[in-house]
Amino acid sequence: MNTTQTKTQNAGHTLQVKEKGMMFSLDASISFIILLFGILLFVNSLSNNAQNVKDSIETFELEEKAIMIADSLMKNYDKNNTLLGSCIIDIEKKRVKSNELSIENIRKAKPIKLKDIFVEKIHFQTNLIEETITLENKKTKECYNVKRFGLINGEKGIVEVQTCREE
Amino acid sequence: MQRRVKNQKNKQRLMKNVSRKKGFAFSFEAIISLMLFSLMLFTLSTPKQTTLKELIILEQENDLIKVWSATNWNEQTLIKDTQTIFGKNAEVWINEKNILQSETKKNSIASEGTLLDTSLNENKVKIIVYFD
Repeated sequence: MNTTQTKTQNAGHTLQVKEKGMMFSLDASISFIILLFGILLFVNSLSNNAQNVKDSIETFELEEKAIMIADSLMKNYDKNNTLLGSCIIDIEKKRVKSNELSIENIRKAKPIKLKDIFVEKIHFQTNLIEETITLENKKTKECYNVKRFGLINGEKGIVEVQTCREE
Repeated sequence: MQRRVKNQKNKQRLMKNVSRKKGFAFSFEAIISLMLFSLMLFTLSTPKQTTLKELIILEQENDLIKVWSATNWNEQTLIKDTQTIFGKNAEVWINEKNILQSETKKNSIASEGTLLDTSLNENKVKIIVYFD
């Protein structure tokens, strides 16, 4: 009699442990899988954010260089490379006339390279003339166009400088 | 005595069943909370991209004022030149009089300068550019 009771108790005890074990493992495994899934999403979102920041910095760098080159072209005179200054000079006053460009100076522009950033082309347009000067022709990753307003050979017009990042 | 023992055993079984159901309910809550957690991760804000758009607009406004100060101008040329570079997103004011209106009203950048006319009178010119 005692032996039978013990067996039944043991059997009951074994059943209890088995049932609890099943419950626990199901609960824990589901939540653990979901937790892992959540961690995966978190890591994925971090990775995307990091990539976006990297792209944003690269775009910002390209914009910065494009604006700097276009501003230099419109405000300065550089006899070595007129890409960095195509303005005319007022000899009497001994000063550069900013925003007053000469077509000859623009045509003399030479390529310039800042790391992997280069000026692809300059386009200018007035009521009398429209011209595109291609400085370099390479495979590009992304380009940025800066439009400026000035006097080109005494005529009001637009100068566009297209700066690109090499592929 | 035997009935009492049976009743106790039945109660224990019932308790086991109840605890099993509660355990399942808890796991469901856990699933929901974890799902919400993952949804929150999706809504994490991405950093805003910095651009130099404002700087370019400011430079273009100054280009216009610079060119106008070096040439003969009238209201029509001011309007035409502004539209050439900014399209319909700019306003021009001359001596507090609005001569060109913008079709959009968003973020704005303004530049102001003084232009001399043929009689050497001072004229205050203001350009307001609206952008996204």
